[in-house]
Amino acid sequence: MSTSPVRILVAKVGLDGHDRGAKFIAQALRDRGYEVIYTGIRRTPDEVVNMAITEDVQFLGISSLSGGHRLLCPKVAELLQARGAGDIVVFAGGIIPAGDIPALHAAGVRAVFGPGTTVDQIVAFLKETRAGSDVAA
Amino acid sequence: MPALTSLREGLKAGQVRALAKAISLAENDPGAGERLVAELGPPATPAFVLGITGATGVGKSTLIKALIEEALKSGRRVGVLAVDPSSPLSGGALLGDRFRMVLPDVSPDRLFIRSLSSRGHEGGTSRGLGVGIRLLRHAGYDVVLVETTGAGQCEFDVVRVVDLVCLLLAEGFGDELQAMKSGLMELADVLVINKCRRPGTEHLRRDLESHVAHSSRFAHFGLLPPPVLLTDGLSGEGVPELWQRLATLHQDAAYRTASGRKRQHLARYAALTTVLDRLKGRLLARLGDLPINGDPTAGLENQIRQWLLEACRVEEKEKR
Repeated sequence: MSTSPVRILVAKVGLDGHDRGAKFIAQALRDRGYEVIYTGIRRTPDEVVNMAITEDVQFLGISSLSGGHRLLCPKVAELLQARGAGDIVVFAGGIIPAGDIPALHAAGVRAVFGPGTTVDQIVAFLKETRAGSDVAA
Repeated sequence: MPALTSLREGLKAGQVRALAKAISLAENDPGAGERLVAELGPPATPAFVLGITGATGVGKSTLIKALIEEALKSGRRVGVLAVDPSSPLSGGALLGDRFRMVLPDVSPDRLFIRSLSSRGHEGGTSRGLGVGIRLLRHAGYDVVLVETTGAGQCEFDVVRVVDLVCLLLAEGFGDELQAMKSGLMELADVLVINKCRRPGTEHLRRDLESHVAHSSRFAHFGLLPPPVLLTDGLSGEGVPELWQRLATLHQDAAYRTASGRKRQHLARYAALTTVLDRLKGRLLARLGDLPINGDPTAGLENQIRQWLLEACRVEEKEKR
């Protein structure tokens, strides 16, 4: 339904406790009309997937700054698939080396946003994805 | 949105995801949500539906976490619906209640937490809340905890959809005169002074107990005056006692009759305002689509006219 707000879970997974970026994104998306749920820091992939399912979000954004993305992002995507929630679109952001991005894409992470990304770029991704396009950032 | 039939089947099979989708349906299309729960019929097991309300930062989410732990200990399955406000500027929301209710080892089957945006509803709740509660009950959650938005005096809609309401206060609330004012203070079943380790708690307790003992407002409507309890949600102090007290009140038939009377009064009030509420969520979802003229010193009349036209268009669509 086009008039229903889009829901997004902003997640911190693993031991990474740097959440200024996650909080910034959560607020920026709130200001663009999205309903944003923030997980808080140091959640397990299992917890994050449970939250995504019970909150019935359309998107799950993972913020990673300390190198756990190669393990944790694929794990979250895999668990979503396993629970029949593979339609929830996973994207990631933070400090993620360019060389890691193809593997994340292959694991089901639809887009990866690095430093310097604007809020407009993220919103454009969300809108394009909602519209059914599979353009990745 | 999934087809209604697969949603029904998923609910019947007890799927957590179907329950989550059904709550979304109730939020996005309250009429469809109502029809769905009507089809499901009455829930199989009795439940205890408890509302937690009070000002921003008074400790509602943290106390709810402690209450969840009490309920889980007694083998109950717990559903939580936590409402946070939507933005009047963007229509968006930051839903941050479950952040404080983390119990990593409890599966959604035993603890189902869902955050709701108020979506423009101003009574401290959201339009989908009543249906959401019924969906949780139907799924077998026999304790349902409802957290309102930060609530002060006028946000009392939660009283209509729950069995009992706890009003959380904390030191700094004010004197007896604040307690005498209308609204939430006259509707709560239990008054809880949270963060009770703070100095000033005893003073507030005396003020509240004095008010409760001397006020005619409860007797006039056939209500029993609310007890005043002390808790500290963070450490859990006073929480088992609060839980016990609530469970006892919930079982008390005389109390139920008295609070039924209160509900009658509120239902009369609600019936008159429902019509206005219906459109609000739909209209708010359009907020971001309506452009604002870049010049803040320009007159607003033309813009307001355009916005009103758009609102009327949505209203017309709703009527059909």
